[in-house]
Amino acid sequence: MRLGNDLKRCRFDAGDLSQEALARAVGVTRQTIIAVEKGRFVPSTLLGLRLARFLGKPVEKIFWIVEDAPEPR
Amino acid sequence: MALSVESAVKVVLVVLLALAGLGIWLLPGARGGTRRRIDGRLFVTTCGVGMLCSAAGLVVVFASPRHAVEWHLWEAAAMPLVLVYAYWIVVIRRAPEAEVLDEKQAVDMTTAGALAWGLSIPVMGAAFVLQEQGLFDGRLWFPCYLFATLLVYFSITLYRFERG
Repeated sequence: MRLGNDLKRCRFDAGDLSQEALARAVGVTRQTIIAVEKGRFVPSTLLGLRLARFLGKPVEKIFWIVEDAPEPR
Repeated sequence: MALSVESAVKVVLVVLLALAGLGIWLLPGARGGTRRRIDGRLFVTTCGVGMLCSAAGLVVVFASPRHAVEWHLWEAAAMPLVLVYAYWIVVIRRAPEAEVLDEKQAVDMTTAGALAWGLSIPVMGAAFVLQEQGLFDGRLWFPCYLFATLLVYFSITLYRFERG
């Protein structure tokens, strides 16, 4: 089970926002935004809510759980 | 000649430490200072300085062990990093209630710290074996441990931070 996200598309939907601009707006570094978009870093609840609030979208539209494929028998 | 080199190095180190202390005391309240977070640029710079100081320290310790101790060269190698961390204290003092590090920086530092600690055990084990065989000066164990651990720590921190 892992975290999926649509942060990159939401960032472009918000007026082609750069990673740096989004990072500054929510109080993190650009590298954190890059890591979240690549799925390499799971943001905290607080950061997820900050991103959702800034981008004007429900947090469930940006982040969701990706279920692992069932193991073949 | 040897005494004057040692004295000169000591004076420089003491002056730099005094300036760092003065900076920590005066700069947070000074006008013009706007940095209130350990931003990406300062974080990367710290890692870079840390890696350079650690590498220089290890070179000094192994290339000239006698001078590393007698002339305080290992302390001189660490001084740039001390000054950078003094600036971190200035930034933290400007906004004591704020989050100065973002969560990914904190995770990267924690992970790097754990790995550096783990790797320091075999490194110091090797130093112990070498010392038992008379191939390693026991006075150097602390600078060796410090610089080896810091080199690993800053390398891993920088790698994790920059790869995103």
